Order: sequence, then structure tokens, then C-alpha cells
Amino acid sequence: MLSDLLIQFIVLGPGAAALVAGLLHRFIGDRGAMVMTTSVVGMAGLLSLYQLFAYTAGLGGHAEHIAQTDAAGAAAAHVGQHIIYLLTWIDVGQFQADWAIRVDALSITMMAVITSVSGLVHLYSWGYMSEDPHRSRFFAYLSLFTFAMLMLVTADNFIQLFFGWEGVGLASYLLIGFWYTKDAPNDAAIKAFVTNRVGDFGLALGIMAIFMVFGSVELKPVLAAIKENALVVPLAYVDPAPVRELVVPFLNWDIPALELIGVLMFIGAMGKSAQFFLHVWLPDAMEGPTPVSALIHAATMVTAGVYLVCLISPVYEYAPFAASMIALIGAVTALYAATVGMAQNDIKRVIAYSTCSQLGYMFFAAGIGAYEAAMFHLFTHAFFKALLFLGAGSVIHGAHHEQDMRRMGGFAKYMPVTYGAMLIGTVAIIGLGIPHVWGFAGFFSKDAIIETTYAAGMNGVAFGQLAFWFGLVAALLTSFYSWRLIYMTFHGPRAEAEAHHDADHDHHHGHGDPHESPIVMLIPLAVLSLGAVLAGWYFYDAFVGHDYKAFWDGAIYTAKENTVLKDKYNVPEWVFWAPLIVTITGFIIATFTYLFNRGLGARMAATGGPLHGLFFNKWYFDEIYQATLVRGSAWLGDTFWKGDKKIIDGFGPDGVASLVNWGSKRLSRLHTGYLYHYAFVIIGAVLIFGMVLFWRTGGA
Amino acid sequence: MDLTINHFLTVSAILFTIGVVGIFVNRKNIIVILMAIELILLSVNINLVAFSVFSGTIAGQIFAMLVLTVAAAEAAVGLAILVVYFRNRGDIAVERVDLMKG
Repeated sequence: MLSDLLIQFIVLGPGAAALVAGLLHRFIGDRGAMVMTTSVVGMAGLLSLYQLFAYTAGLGGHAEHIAQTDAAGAAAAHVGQHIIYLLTWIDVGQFQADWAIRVDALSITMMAVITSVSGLVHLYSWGYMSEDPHRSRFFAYLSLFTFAMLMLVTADNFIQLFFGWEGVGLASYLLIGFWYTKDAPNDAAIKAFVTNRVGDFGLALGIMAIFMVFGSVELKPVLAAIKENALVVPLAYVDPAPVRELVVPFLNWDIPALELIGVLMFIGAMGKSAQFFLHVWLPDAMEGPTPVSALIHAATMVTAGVYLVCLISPVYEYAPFAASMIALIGAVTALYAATVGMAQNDIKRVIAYSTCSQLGYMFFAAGIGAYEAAMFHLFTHAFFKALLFLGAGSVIHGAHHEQDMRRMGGFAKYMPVTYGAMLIGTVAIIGLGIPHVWGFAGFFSKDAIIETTYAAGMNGVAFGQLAFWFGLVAALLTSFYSWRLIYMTFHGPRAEAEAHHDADHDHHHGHGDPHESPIVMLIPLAVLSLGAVLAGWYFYDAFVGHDYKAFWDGAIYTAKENTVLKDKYNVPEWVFWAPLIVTITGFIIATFTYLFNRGLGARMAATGGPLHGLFFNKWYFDEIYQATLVRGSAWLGDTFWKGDKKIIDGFGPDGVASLVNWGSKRLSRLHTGYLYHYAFVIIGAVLIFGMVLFWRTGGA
Repeated sequence: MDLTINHFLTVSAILFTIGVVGIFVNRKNIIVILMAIELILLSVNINLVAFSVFSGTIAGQIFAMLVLTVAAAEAAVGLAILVVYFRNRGDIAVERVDLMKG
């Protein structure tokens, strides 16, 4: 294991690099900022990868120890974590939050994913952003994002988690809108930010609910209280009760406390992880530079929701309704995004919907209780999805900023390395592999999810059956759209160069054949390819296989009754083979439609039909939201604005002011300026006062 | 016919009224206003002296001297202001002295 100092470097180094690159770039220049941020994040990546490997390698003897304590029934109380205290932040009565770094299996996994992908993306951006005039700003944002994400995953209290959560949201906003002179990126950035606000509102309420119920926002006491079913004394006027039975009032209902917390936290996760209803921002976020899409909108930030659900797994173990909601939303997202991905033409949007769909897999796995499988898929997905995105970036870079797949084709011979990398990414995401033998990364993680959902369905977990079938169909669609992307981009006849004269894009460099990307962009592709091939095989036993108890070591908690992860070995044989069969089916359909009968897909799209329209237009989500939420809130705002103007202002400040104005205009007419008027007033007043005096004193 | 205090008071009241009316009715000249003020002061003086004589105390007559002094000072200051005003504006018609109009 690493020393505390090195772990602090991993977490805080990118933050310092971001500050220097962002604020001092005048002194160190673009190149200085690039060298510094890349080297710091790259070193952090190497260190945290080493940490993950060292941690995994050290499992051997530990497993037996855990097995013994488990037999004694004490494993639940034991949490293998190590906390590095940095600084006291908030210290008000019970409300305590420190800056700290929590090191356990969850954070070690996340740190490895974040820093390694981030390091590679930094390096890749040297090539991809080489013509951009604002490179130091770009690299500062990237490092800032890395820092915020690390703060999120290493938090040992919910306040620091919230800090990281908002920090990544900010970095995401800044990076989506990086090309701020164009309209589309700005709109997409605002859309992402506003949609995330909806989710973050849920998260904030969830944290408040946690504080209300447990009187603490620190992870350890809160999760321990749920595991032990401890008696809690809520702050509000609620009778103390064991936490699993506690019922709290929310709005006008009485809701079990854990269900309330679970649902609210999941709403936060939905926003960040682009789940059904709150997914609309993710495809639009593709307006940002492609390295950003790979890092933030594929590998790391969007998985923060999955991480959060796994982090507070004790809550969901005792909140069946919240868990079934996660399973349902996840399954629907997985299927929905896959259907939309089939009909998109923008290469990045296809991959974005693919990300959305894979996140759905992770969520329904967590929802049915297989948190370990969700984390495993998160881990492998980070590699092959970052690979696909960086590959797409390489295509876009080589094709002179063309993103429409209809204008591509036949690129394989121009960019063989990118082609190879994309092929590896594709076979990894569709989960190619032979059951019981070997496969690519996605095979291990996705099949683990599908098997556990089947086992969960057998065990009677809510929505287990549904998630299984949805997952299976989504796997078919995944295979189809992934191969469709490959065929449309790399195979077939080369699209005519005239397409480049489209007025949409201004081309800085000349037209001509697509070209292979520079070596700094190919190195990350090669490294990620390695991860996409091997990550599943190498880490299967540790994450979800025989060593999983020793690996997670209490970081993920599952109730005694929850045995889905073990039961996945006991599913019927056909369940093991089903994913492979649907994957091959998808491959055959795509090959038939887009390779052998080239143009068939385009003809089908041209013929239209309601189904294609539905998929192509993303199930009309944007239109529905535009018509209801956007128009609705605009109408509401307009009404209130007019009401404010006419009623509040009319009778309030404006009314009083105009009354004073009106009165003083009339009063000022008394000031005629003529001496005899003043004299008359003086004498009249003297007379009146004299008479009053005379009358009051009775003439005496 | 004996002169009683009522005669004096009547004369004084008439003078006072003339002075007050002179202030209000006059629309031509500020000097007339000054003169009207003098009339009012004189009517007050007649009152003071008459009461002094008929009540057999000297205080009223001393007060009348005081009022005369104030009236002289007032006339001097008022005329001086008038002169300066005329130099500035070239006009002392009451109708057009309305700089204080709101």
C-alpha cells in the first residue's frame, strides 16, 4: 500500500496543478501548463494503479481471515478502511465535516479509474487540442475536474462528497462550454447544469434527511448505525426508533426513513448519471471537446451516481422500494438509450447513448443488490468507453472535424491504428467472450450483471426478471449499434470529399484524405486497449468472483439475505450463453444491414416509419420537455414577473413614489413666490392663533 | 367732547387696517409694502403710548421708543435690500418678484 503522503499527492496534486495552470499560465505558458498538469495527473495515475494492483495482490491470506470472521457473524462490523485526516472544515455541534481522504476498496477502485483515464486524456489532448488557442485553460479545467472527482470519491462525510459532486458539475459545465464563442456548446452547458440542478436538489435533500435522522453527516457512524439497526434519536419531533423501522414525516406523508434517504440520494444519482427522465443533458454534452467526453461523460463523472449508490449500499439493503426504483429506472434507461443509439448519425452521440445505456446496466445491477457487479462494470466500462470516445476523437481529428457518420466510410485504410483500437473497444463493449473460458472486459462485467439479475429474478427480487430481459435486449441492441458505427465509419466506399464543403463547419486545415492521428493520441488508445482487453479477466475474481468479500472488505455492505452474487453461479446454463447469442445476433444483423447491403440502413431510415422516428428523435424527450417544462416555467416566470410588476410594484414602491410625486406637485403650487401671499399666511396664522389663545384663556 | 382711550384705539385700528390692506392690495411696488409695514408699526406705537398715558405708567412710552428704533433699522435694511435687488433685476414690481415660486 502507498504511504499517506503519496495518497495525498494523488488527491491534492491535480488540484494544485489546476490552480497553477489556471492562474499562472502567463508565467509558465501553454506548454508549461500542459507539461505540469499532464505529469502530475499521469504520476497520480501510475501511483493509484499501483495501489489498486498492490491491494488486489495482497488479498490472499486476508480472504481466509474474512471467511472466519464471517462465520462468526462479525464481518458486518468490520470495515477495512483507512482515513487520512487533512483539515477540520465544519465543526458545529453534531454537524461535523472534515477534509479527509478515505481509502477503502471503493475509493481505491475509483481513484485508479479516474487518475489513469484522466492522465491518458491529458496526454491525448496534446494532440487533439494542438490548434486551440486556450490550451492552458483547457488543461486547468481537466485537472480541476480530476481533483473534484477525487475529492468526491475519497470523502468520508457527505459534505465533502457534495463538494466534489458540485465541483465535477462545475468542471463539466466549463468543459462542455469550452468553445464558448459558439451557441451550441453554451446551450448544452446550460442544459447540463440545469438538469443536474434537479438531481443535486434531491441529493442535498437526501443529505439533510441523513443529518435529521442520524444527527451526523459522517459516513462511518451513519452506515454503522444502519448495519447494526441502532436506535436513533432524530432531530425532529419523531419518536426514537431502530433506524430500519423509523418512520419520518416528509411533506405530508409518513415514509420509512431509509426509503426517503434512498430515493432522494438516487434522484441525485439520476441527475449525475443521466438516467431516464434526467438523461437529456448527456447527448448534448457531446458539444464539448472529445477528450472531455471521454473523461467526464463516459469514464468518470457520469459514474458518480453508481458510486454513490454503492457507497450507501446499507441504505438500499433496507430500503426495498428505493432499490426496486433503481432497478426499474436502470433497466428502462439501458433499453431506452440503446434504442436511441441505433438511429443516431453523429458518431459521438451514438457513443453517448451507449454510455447512457451502460450506466443503466450498472444501476439495475445495484438496484437488485449486486453492487459489486455494478462497480465492476463501472471499472471495465471506464476503459473501453474512454477507448471508444478517444477513438472517435481520433476519427474526428483525422476527418477534419467531421462528426456525421453518413459522410464517413472506408476510413480503415487511412487510420489503421485507430481502426484497431475501435475494434477492440467494440468487442469489449458488446462483451464478446466464451462463457467459462475467456472474453474481453465487457464480457466479464456485463455477463456478471446479466447472470446476477437472472439469479435475483429467481430469488424474487423486485424487477429482477424485468431487468434481466431488458438487459438481454439492450445487449442485442448494443451489439447492433456498435457494429453499425464501425461499418459506417471504417468500411464501405469512402464518402465523397464534397461533403466537406458543408457550411456547418469551417475548416482550418485543408481538405483531402483523412489521416492517422499523431503518436500522442495513439499512445492513450494503445494503453486503453490493453485495459479493454485485460481488465475484466484480471479483476473478475477480486470484484465479483471468489475473492469479492476480501476485496470489498466491508466497503460494500450486503444483507445476509442478499445472496445474488453467489447465486449467479447457480443459474441455468442457457443464461450463461444467452448474452453471447444475442450479441452475435446483433452483429449479424448489423453486418447484413451495413456491410453486405450497404445503403439498406440509409434506405430504412429514409422510409422512416414511426419506430425510426421515435428512435431518431430520442423518443421526443426534448420536444416533450420543451413543451411542458421549458414553456411551462417560462409561462410561470412570465406570469409572476407581470404580477410583480403590476401588483407588488404597482401598490408598493412605484405606487408610493407616484403618490408622493403627485402630492408634492400640488403642494408646490402654494409657493406662488408673491410676497403678499406669504404675508397673508403669516397674518392669517397670527390671527387664528391669537383667536384660539383668546378663546382658550377665556379673554383673561 | 373729552378724548377717551377709545378714540386713540379707533385711530390706531384704522391705521393698522390701512397698513394690512396696503400690503395685500398693492401689486405695484415693494416700497409701498415697506411703507405699509411702517403704518402698522405706527399704529402699534399709538396703542402703546395711549395705554401708557391712560394707565399712568411710563413703560409703554419706552416701548414705543424701542419700536421706533426697530422700525428705523428695518427701513434701512429693507431699503438697502431693495436697492441691491433693483441693481440685480432692474425691476421691483411686486408682480414680478416671484423667484421663490415652487
